[in-house]
Parts: sequence; C-alpha cells; structure tokens
Amino acid sequence: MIRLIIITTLVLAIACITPAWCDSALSSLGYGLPQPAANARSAGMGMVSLGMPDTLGLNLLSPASWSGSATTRFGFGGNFSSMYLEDVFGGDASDQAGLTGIGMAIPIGKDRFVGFTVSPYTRMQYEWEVRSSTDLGASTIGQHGIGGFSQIMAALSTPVWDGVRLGLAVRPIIGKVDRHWREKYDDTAVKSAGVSVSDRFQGIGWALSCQWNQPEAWTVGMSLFGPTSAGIERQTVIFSDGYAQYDQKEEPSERYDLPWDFTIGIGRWIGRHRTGFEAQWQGWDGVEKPAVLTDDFTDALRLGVGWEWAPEYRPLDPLWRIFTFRGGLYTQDHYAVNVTGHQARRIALTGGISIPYYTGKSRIDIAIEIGWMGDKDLDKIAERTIGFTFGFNHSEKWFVGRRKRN
Amino acid sequence: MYKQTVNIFLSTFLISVLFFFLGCAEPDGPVGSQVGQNRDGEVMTVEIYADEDTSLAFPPPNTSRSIHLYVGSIDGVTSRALVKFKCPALPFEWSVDSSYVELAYLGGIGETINPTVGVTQLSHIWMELDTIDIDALPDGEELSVFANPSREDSGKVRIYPSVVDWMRMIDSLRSDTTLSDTAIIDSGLTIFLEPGPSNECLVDFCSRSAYDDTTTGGSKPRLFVYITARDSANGELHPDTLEVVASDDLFLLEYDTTAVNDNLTIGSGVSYRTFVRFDCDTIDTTNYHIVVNQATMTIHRKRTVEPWYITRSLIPFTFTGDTVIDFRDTELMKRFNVITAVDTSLNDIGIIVSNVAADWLQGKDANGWLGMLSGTEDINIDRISFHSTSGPVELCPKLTVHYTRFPR
Repeated sequence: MIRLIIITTLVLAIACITPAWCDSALSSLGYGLPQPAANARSAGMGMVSLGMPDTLGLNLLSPASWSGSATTRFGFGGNFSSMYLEDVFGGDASDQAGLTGIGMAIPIGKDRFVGFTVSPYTRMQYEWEVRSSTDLGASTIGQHGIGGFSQIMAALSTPVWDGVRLGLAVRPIIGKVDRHWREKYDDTAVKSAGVSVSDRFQGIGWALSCQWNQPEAWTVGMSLFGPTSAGIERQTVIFSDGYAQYDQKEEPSERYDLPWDFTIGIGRWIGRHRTGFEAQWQGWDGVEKPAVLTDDFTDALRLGVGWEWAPEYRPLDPLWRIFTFRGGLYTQDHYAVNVTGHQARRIALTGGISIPYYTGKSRIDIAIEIGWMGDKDLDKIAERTIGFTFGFNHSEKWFVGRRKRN
Repeated sequence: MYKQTVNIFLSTFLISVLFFFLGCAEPDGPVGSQVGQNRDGEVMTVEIYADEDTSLAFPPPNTSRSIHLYVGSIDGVTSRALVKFKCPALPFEWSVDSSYVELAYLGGIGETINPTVGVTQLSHIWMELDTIDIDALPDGEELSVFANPSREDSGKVRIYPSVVDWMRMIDSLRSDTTLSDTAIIDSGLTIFLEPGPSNECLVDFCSRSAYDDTTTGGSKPRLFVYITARDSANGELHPDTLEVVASDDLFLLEYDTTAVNDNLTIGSGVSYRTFVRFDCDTIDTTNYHIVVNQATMTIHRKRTVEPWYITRSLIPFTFTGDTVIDFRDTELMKRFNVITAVDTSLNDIGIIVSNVAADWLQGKDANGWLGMLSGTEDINIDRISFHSTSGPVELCPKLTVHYTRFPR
C-alpha cells in the first residue's frame, strides 16, 4: 500500500510539473478546451455522473452527490492521452497528461459533509510553426499557447428531506493563459518580432446542486453554476531579436466571463446494472468576449449516456466479479468557433473499470476514452484521441471522534 | 493474493504511465495552424520621403594627410591647395637656369573638358596644422596658367625667376647666425593653386602623401631646379638638377551656404555632415506596439567623386535647424554602425537603419533627424554628394520601414 501511494504520488507530481505538450489545436480557441469529467468514474460512463450516485467517490462538480458512510473521503486523479492531428498540411502526433482533480470531504454530522474540490474547467496547449514569405524574405511564424481555467468548490452537502440532497458551493475560479507569437526571418539582417501575453485570472462565483435518489430505482441530479466574472492581471512583452522592447503589467478593465452552466442527469437501476443520461448546457452566447480573443463564442451542449455493472461477488467466485465495469458514449460541442464559423464537436466512446481495495472502503477507477473531434474541412483540423483517466478514491476515519469510531 | 495481484497491477500501470510522461511526443510543423489563423502580429511596410535636409560644413582644419589635392568648385564647395617645398642643399656657387613644379594629374569632373587651375607663388612661412585664413594670404606673383587634362604628361608650372630669389634668400639666411635653424628650415617655397574661371569643375592632383609610383598613377609634387654649379675643388662649371619633393601641402575648403543645401555631402574629413529628417507620424504608435523588422534609407548619388567612401555611421539626434551642432558633443557622437549596399547600376546607396528607426518610433529620439558621417572622416579628404529634398521626389532620400505591429 505504501509503495502504491509513493508511486502514485510520484507519477502525479511528475504529471503536474512536466509540461503537457500540445494536446489540441482546437484548444487555441477561446479559453481552451472544456474539461467535462466529474471524476474518473464518470469518465468511463460517457461523462455521466449526476444520475449515478456514488457513496465512495467524490463528484468534483456536484457536492449534492456526496453521500455515504461517515468517513473522510479523499480523491485525486489524472489523465494522459495520445492524439493524432490531421489537416491540410499532413498529420502529427502529440501526447498530453495532467491532473484531473483533487478533492476532500469531511463528515460533520449525520450524512452531512463539507469539503473542497479542485478541477480543470478548460485546458489549453497548442504549438505550431508555419513558413511564410514576405517582402523581407522567408520567415517562420510560431505560435504557442498554454494554460486554462481551474475551478474550486468549497461546498456543503446536506440531506434536506427524504432522498433529496442539496449542495451549496462557493466557486472560486483561477486561471492562467500564456500565448506567444513570433516571426523570425531567415535573413539575419532582419530583426524578428514577437509578443507574449500572459493573463492571470481570479474570480468567484457560486454553484448549486441537488439530487433526488430513490434507492435501487431512479436518481435525478441537477447542478447549476452561476455566471462568474474573473479579473485579469496581464503582462505583455513585445520583443525583437530576443530582447524585450516593451514589458508591462496591467489590470485591464475587461474581464473574462464564464457563463451559466446547467446540467441535468437521470439514472436508473436495472438489476445490478445502472444506466444514466446527462445533458449539460453552457450559455456562452451571453458572454462578452474579451477583446484579446478573435474567436466567437456560442452556446455549447454536452449529451452523454452511460452504463455501469457491479457483479455481485461471493466467496469462490472468479476474481473479475470484484470489479465494476463501465461503458458510455458522449458528444460535446466546443464553445468557441474558428474562422470557418463552425462549432467543433467531440464524439467519444468510453469504458472503465473499478478496482476496490481496503476492504471495499476505497476504490481505484480507470477509464479509457476513444474520441474524435473536428473536421478537416469545417474546423481545419481533425483530432483522434485515445486516453486514460485514473482516479483514487480513499476513505478514512480521519476527523471522526473516537466515540463514533468505536 | 488478491491484494498482491492488485498492487502488482497498479504498480506496473503507474510505472508505465511514468515512462509515458517522460517520453511525451511533441508535435512540430504547421499542423493545426489553420485553426488559429488570427495573426497576432501584422507586418506593414511604409515609405517615407525626407521632409527636410541640410549639410553643414565648418571652417576646415588643415588636413595634410590626403593623397589628393583638390582644386576647383563642385556642388557649392570650393577647394584650393597649398604646396610647400623646402630649399634643397646648394653647392658652393650656383646659378639657376630654369625651374618648374610638377604636379601629377589624377583626373577631374566638371562641366568643361579643359579645367584650369591658377598657380601663385607665395612667400609665406607656414607650419603644418596651422589654420589658414585664405583671405589673409598675401598676394603672390601669378605664374603660368596650368592645366589641361588632355595632356598626357603631368602638369608643369614654370616659376623662374622667383625660385632664384627664394634660393638666394635661403642662402643668405644660412649665413645669418642670428636666425634660428627652425626659421631656416621652415622657410619654404609655397605654391598656391586656385580654381580657374570655370565653375562646377574639380581637378585632382596627387599630394605629398600619394604613392610615389608613376606606373600606378601616383607621383608626389616635385620642384625641379636646373642649375649651373661651380665645382669647389677645381672651379669648373657643370650643370646639375636639383629635385625636391614637396615637404608639406594642404587643400582648403570653402562652402557656399546656399548651394550646400541643394546637395547632401559627407566626407572631407570632419568638415561635412549631412542631416536628413523623416516624419514618422504616418506610423500609428498610439494604437499599436511597433517592432521594426528592418528600416532602409536610400540615397541617390549625385557626383562621381573619387574615392568611394561610404557612410559608416549614423547619429540620431534632435536638431531644430538653427542649432549649431558641436560634433564633439559626446551625446551626438553616439553612432550606429550600419550596413550599406551600393547599387552601382542605379547609383543608389542603401543604409540599413533598423536600430535608429526603432528609436524614433518608440519615441526615444525626438524629431526624426538623422546625421550621416563619412566613414573616413578622421583620415582623409573625400567627398560624396547626394540628391537632397530640393531635387526630384524620386531622387530625394527615402526611408522604407518594415515593421510588425501589435494592438495595444
């Protein structure tokens, strides 16, 4: 167990500090690609989570789902994927890795929890170079961007009446986006020019979630994120031939706005199988786009269906019956459109497995996703992805009084 | 058993993930570039013709290290020359039969094919590095008019019998013990070369600094004195030739202020500097950050004056047009080394001035004046003239700026 924790910590630490190389050209649009996974469990079920109660893992996006035994829950996860990009210039491959979230919930009463989660809201990383020709001769234009938004939930999860739970959260938003552009000429007598714009954001919003759960039957969940406005601290560096010609920090009057975000999910037990459906709508049309961005925003929709099967395990049963199996399908729109005016869409097949440990008090989730996003003609890029998401969901009797433990 | 199986599986899985992270593939090339076609920087080109210009010349110092002696007027500048010969060693008894000064003709430009130079002998004692006031030179005896460039031989000036008087004076000075050796040594025969009546005509002779090689066209000014000398041993008379190479020379410059402004001139040692002003207000630095990729100033050569020394340094500065510029000011002596390119077929000279233009556009230098200095200004006398803003628009100095702009 200790070895497992050490290796896991090491892997995640490296994942956090290792630069995740270009993951998607489409992440250059807007604030980056939306990251929909509530945790590794939902990543294996077509991103469905609200209609699928979980008494062990933490739903990073819906505190109302935190329910179960009075133990402290702690979870974190990461993902890595390999992508193949294809456009009119040909094809290229990239790998991506990163942390998908971390959270902790502490019981404070009968079936009541307080906790926090940190998860990515968008992620951006792209890089390309093109050759160009101007009056000054041949040149190479390079663009590179990295960053994204992260959201924090500081939440209270509580039952309000029979079968119904409510989650109330303060939702701070933090983020960082760095964009670089440079043109370098083959003629050494011609000076290169470039600009780097680094934005740091912070803002605060709210989140409301609720879940109605009829054991062994239906579950309906809903989450609502209010619009959030993030202030910006911007550093602009204009450089020529590697020397900074202009370097200025400022707080522009414009703000980065995040839209209304509404998600509804419904799930149903069928024997030992559970199925669910989820729909998420983000109202990006109502967001005032920052002047620094040239893309247009439009409402985005995510639809997903998922399935989970937990075979009952009895002594002498085959070992695989310990595991839980998952599958799903989802489709998600990008909220930013490029020069063609087309809204790129991701379609993905998912699968997953859960491995319980610690006498069933904890769980490791592993999910796999095979996805397609974009069209070579309509979106100027087609991306194919295969990726893995993993999550650790651990529970301990931390912060629980000795009398309750006994 | 289950626990061990799970642990082994998970450890293997995580270690594989670790190696995956360390071996992440990085894309390169243009794939994906069409998604983000929003170009952050926009490359612009602007051509700016000079607004104002002037050349300034100063009272010239003695410049005695030139290989040229220029005499004549061109582009509003008048040149005159002085050549000095020290007295040769004289025999016990002597008489002068004839003498002449020989100057090697290097060429000339101008509107006439027969430039003329007037020669005056001066009884003038002068030292190297003296400041010569042309108007204060005493009148000398006018000698034969020199100079026809169609002659195949060197130009010659016959100055007998004045050489006799000069040599007699030297001889008597030697016997006068009250005179210092310095006075005797410096008592030279001075030839003053003045332009002839033709305007816009420049004649070029070799100076005493020239290579003394007639096969390559170089030949220092020489004084030839044909004498009859008496042998002190036996008293016999015999002819002899005294050959004296010039010991010192100068050429002096005057300028016509009005005419100078029609030409942009650099060169002539420290005497000429040219200033050109460009109005860069056409470039919007209010709404954009500007990076100058390359700025090239094009100037068009006016005269083919040898040698072809091209500007090597530029000075950006503030100039009101009425300010007298002290060129020794250390601030103004800040120079940018530039790259020049001469298009001989078009007589254009291109000077890459990217650093200077960048300073203008960023507001570091005040009002867009640019000063040009000759690359040989510490050494030699040479002059190149360019078309100014007084001439045709297509020939006036032009600044072409290629820059990248970023919205503010």
